Parts: sequence; C-alpha cells; structure tokens
Amino acid sequence: METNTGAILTKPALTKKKLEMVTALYMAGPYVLLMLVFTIAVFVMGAMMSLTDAARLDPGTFTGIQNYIDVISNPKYWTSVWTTLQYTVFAMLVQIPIAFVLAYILNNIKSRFRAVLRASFFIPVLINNVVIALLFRMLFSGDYGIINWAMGTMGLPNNTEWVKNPNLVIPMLVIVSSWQWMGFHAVYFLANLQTIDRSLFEAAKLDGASPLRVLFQIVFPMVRPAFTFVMITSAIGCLQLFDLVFLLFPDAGYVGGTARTIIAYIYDEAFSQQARFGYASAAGFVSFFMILIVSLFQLRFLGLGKAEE
Amino acid sequence: MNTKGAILLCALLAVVFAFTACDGGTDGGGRTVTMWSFAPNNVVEWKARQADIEKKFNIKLVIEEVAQNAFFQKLQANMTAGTDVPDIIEWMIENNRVLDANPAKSYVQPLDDFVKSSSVFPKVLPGRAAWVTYGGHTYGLPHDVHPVVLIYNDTIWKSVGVDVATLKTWDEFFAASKKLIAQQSGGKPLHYALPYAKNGLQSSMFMIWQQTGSQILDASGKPTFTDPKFVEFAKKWQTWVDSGVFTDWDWGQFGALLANGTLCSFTSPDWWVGQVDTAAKEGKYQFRVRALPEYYAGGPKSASWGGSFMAIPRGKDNAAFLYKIMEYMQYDKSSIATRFKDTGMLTPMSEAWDTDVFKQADARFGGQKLGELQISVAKDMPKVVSGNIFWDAINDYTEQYAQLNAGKLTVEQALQKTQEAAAARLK
Repeated sequence: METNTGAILTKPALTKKKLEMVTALYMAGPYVLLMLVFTIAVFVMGAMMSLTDAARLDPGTFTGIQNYIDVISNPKYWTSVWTTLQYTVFAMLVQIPIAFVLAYILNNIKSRFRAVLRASFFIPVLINNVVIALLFRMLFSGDYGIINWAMGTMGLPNNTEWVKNPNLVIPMLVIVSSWQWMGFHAVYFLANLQTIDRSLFEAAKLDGASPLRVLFQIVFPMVRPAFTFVMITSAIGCLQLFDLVFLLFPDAGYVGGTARTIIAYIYDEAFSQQARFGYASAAGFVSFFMILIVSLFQLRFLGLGKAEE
Repeated sequence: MNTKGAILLCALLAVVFAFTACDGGTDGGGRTVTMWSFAPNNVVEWKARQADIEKKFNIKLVIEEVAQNAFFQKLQANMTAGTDVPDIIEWMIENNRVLDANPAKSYVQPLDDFVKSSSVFPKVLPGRAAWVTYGGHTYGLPHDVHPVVLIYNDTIWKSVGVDVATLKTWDEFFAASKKLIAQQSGGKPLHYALPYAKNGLQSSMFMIWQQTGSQILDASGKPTFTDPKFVEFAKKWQTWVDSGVFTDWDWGQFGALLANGTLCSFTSPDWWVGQVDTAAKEGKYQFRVRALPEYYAGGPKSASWGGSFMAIPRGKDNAAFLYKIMEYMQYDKSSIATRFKDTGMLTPMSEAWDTDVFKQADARFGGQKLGELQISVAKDMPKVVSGNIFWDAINDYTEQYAQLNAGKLTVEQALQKTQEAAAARLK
C-alpha cells in the first residue's frame, strides 16, 4: 500500500505561522468573544439608544441627534463638566508631584523600613471607596467631626460644614482622592526609579553635578514613561469620578450641584424619576469623546510612543 | 348526557371560569407567585406568614429580598428583557420612580378597578393612599402610615424651664429652643432642639413642611415652589436653621446623641422611634412623646416619613388574583396587630386600630400610650400631592438649598431656580 508519510514529514499540515495564528486565536478567542458581547455590542447598543427618546420602559423612537443637541445645550451638563475638569486638574497637580517626591524619598532612603513605608503608602488603594467615604465623612462631619473638634481645641473656627459647603467640594475631593491614590502612583514612580542605572548618578557625581541638575537631567527624563502612564491613567480616572462623590456627598443635590461630576450627571439622568436613557446615553457618548480627546492630547503631548521606542 | 346538555354544561363552566378570572378567585392552583421586597424588616413578616399565605391562595410564594440600591435597576432590566419579572413588588414610597401619571409609562399597573370594588381599601387612610396615587390612578397598596410624633427629653427641656408638652406651635417650639442652646461648651451648644442635615426638603424639614398645607406640585403635576405658602415656609425654616438650634441628622450616632443629652428632641415616624431605646433603658433622662406642634393654629399635628407599598408590574396577567394576595398580605386584621407588636409599624387600615395592642402603655415614655397617640395623629395626616416629578423636584430644591445655606442665594432665588429646574423636567 502506498502512503504519503514522507510528504507529511516534509510538509506539516500547518505552517509555523499558521500554527501561531491558530494558537493566538485559541488563546484570545474567549476574551475577544466576551469583549464583543460586553463591550462592543453594549457600545453599539448605547450609540443606537442615544439616537432615540428611550425613557423608562419605552424603547423610544428615532430622534436623530436631538439628544446630543440637548446635552451640549444644557448648562447643567457643562457645570458637571466644569466640576470634573476642576477636580481632574487639581487632583493631578496635587497627587502626581507628591507621589513622585514620595517615590524619590523612598528610593533614596537607606532604611529597613522602606518596604513597610512603601506598603503603608499603597494600603489606601486597597480600601473600598465606601469605607473611605464613610471615614472622611466622619472626620469632616460638621458637628461631630474630629477635624472640627481639633480645630476648636486650637482656637480655630470649629463649625465648618466641610461636606456641605459648595466652596469646599473640590478641595475635599482632592484631599480624599490624593490620600487614596498617591501611594499607588508612588509605586509606579518607584519602580521606574529603580530601573535607572546607578552608574549614571555616579558619573554625574564625579562630574560635580548638583542634586537639582541630577534630578532634572537624569531622573526626570528617565521616569518620563512612568509620568506618562500615571498622568493618563489618573486623568481618565479623575474624568470618570463617580462613586466617591456619590458616597462623600450623599445628598441628592450634590452640594448645590458643585459635586455633580459628568458620570454622576449621566447616572442621574438615567436613573431619576424620568429615567431618560436615550438622553443619558448621548451624554455618555459626548463625555466619551471628550475623555478620548484629552487622552489623545496627553499621549501626543507626553509622547508615550517615543518613550517606548 | 345529550349534546344539548353538554353544551349547557360547557357554557356554565365557561361562565364560572370567566367569573373567577374576573374577580381573581382565591385559588392559585399551585402556581408560583414571586415577590420582590426592598425592606428587610417587612420580609421578616412575609416569611413568618408565608405558609399561611400559600395555604390561603394555594400558591407557592417566592419572596426575594432585593437591595434597595439595586431594586429599580434590576426591575428596569428585567422588565425591558421581559424575563424574571416579579408578580408583586414591594417598593419604597419615597424616591419612588416606578409610578407615572400615565399608566402607559408606569412600571406598575393601575389598581383602580380593584380598589373601587374592594371592601378593604376604602378603610385605608386617604392621606396615605395619596402617596401612591398619580394622575388620579391608584398604583399600590400602602403597607404603613408612618405617622410622625415629637419625642423629647423632658428632663433636659424642663431643666431649662421649658415644658414641651405645652408648646402649641412650631414658632413657640423654636423660640423656646433658644433657651436650650444657651448652655455651651467650647463655643458649641451642649444641647440641640432638633436634628436636620441642612440638606433641603429632607428629614425634619420634609416632615414639618407637610404640616404647612403647601404643596410642591399642583393637581396637574406642575411645580409650585414659588407659591406664597411655600415661600413663607422656606423663609421661616431658614430663620430657624440660622438660629442654631439644629444639629446634624447623624444616622449612625442618633441613639448615642439622644442618650448623652446632645439631641433633646426629634420628629419621628414609627420606624425611627426605637432610637430612643438605649437612652430610655439607661434611665438617665425621662423621655416623653407628643403630637407635632402645629405649623399654624388648628393645622395638622402630624406628617409622614418613609414607607412602602405593594404593586403589580405592568404586563402581569391575573392582576385581580395578585391584588387579592397583596390586600391580604397588607391588611389581614390579625396580622396587623402582630406587625405593630413586632415592628412598631402602624397599618394604614383604620378599621384595625381598635385592638388592644395599640393601647399599651409604653415604658420608654413614662407609660404614655404611643400607639394611641400615633393613631390619633394618623387620622389627621396631611394629604400630599404626588406626581411624576415629585421626587426629582425635591432633589432640585436640595440642590439649591446647599447654595442657599452657603449664603450664595436668597430663599427667593433658591426657590425660583428650583421652580425653573423642576418645570424644565416637564418639557
């Protein structure tokens, strides 16, 4: 009987390239499938819904871009955008420099407590937002908070309504989120700092470079990838802020509307008494494109691609 | 049986079937009835009575406790998908988003035909039924009344020379409260008259507002925040707030603040009375209870806060049968007494109030009969006009109130902005 064993041995059924592709598909398939169902399909359905007047149980009728016009002409939406942008800018201005300083100190101290300190800075990230909000609400409670009590003992005004004053909303959010996220960012900076070749510092020292010059000419350029990553992720996180405002300022009015972030606005529109799902979807897409633009701008400005090269 | 006889028998059976289908009957034929409830304390009662309900209606009752913060979203999702929609829902009267004046937009069915022919529903307090009546349609059966009374620390009030029992109006109460806050330590009062979180038309303000006779929606569902009556109340309220007699409504420490004498009185629905238990048990202070002071002479002496109702989601068939189950669960006379005994919650069915359980002396209040007092004020319950934008409009005021409280808006400006925001919701 004639066989083609030789042909099989010399020419495998799948080439190496094809085999790699099949393996890749096999490995990535489940995730791609899940992404198609839970991300892409939802995204498309949301886009379709944003073009309708769907509300409550009514799937609605096609209204074109009316919802988008309504969103961008609604001052309440822009107030929420302004709140979110203020928070994003101030939170990043506070969190990132302090996180870098922390990381720089941690990188340079010769202490056996370094690991303990690193862990303790990181712990707030692991705490549930509900717990954090409750903790800070107790600390900053007007009549019974520790902060007011401590201020009173120092002869300072002790009746500040920290979580009810529209002027204090952004500072409060920045304080809480900075406490929560600084350690997380510091870990990224620290990891990046530890990859810098020590010989660069030694060479700079031999050349008589001042510590400031070392910082600006060696450290900063070398930690640019970490800066880029931290800035982009924290900007996205800040722009999507929701749970903290919801928990920290639980009253329905979001402290005179000053604590209503974009996502909180979308939530309110979708789950208020009128449940305007079409309108809320449109607000979601407008916000999505704004976040996309901010992220693309950051990527281009900070040159993430260049850093990777 | 000849053909004629068979036809007659079939016709008779059809009539009987049609009759039972119309009135719902009381035999579920072993079908499963699913109920969602957001209220853990109510679920305790339903589970305790489950066997009796199942036996009475020949059903299998499935009771699911759905978390309050997920309830509306879950109902929305299931009703949109058309799967696993419960037969009955028990939902909160406040921040209620399932009702709509237009039955086509409501998540639940109007019960108009059933309540009209019911012999039980007419005995439900009209003031309570008003909370679940939108656009003239009755959508639910209220579980409770939650009449509000004033609980106060008689020892401390009397120590500053005030007998709260003799105060007739809120004006008198707040004037007397200045004596209470006169005792200070570290620049802060040792005692406060009432709790209020300075968050708009919520808690104490929400309760006292109901006594004013002003509404935030008119009969057609339009907002009325600039109505002179409401404006007058909002101004008066701000004067009271500015007098410094309020302290935070601190949900977590409420009982402790009563026990240590910081908080000397509070307006309380029946479900919140238990906050006084620890303080009463310690015995350091004598607590007393009374009807709310009047807002105006001769006005109502109570209000309502919180509560739940049962309703049937839209699209559910056999609503007449489900209505009977709900009516039995809510208003069965023998269970109502147990409910009051176990939870302190008063039924809205006035006919059941004559039993002894409501006439017991309450040791927490020096032997005063709390149940009797609650019943007497419940009869006086003010009627609130609810509607499609009611709860959103309250939130609109809450939003402006923060600006008002921070001194950025006057009362008139805050109300004007609220009026505009609420009116915009109708567009």
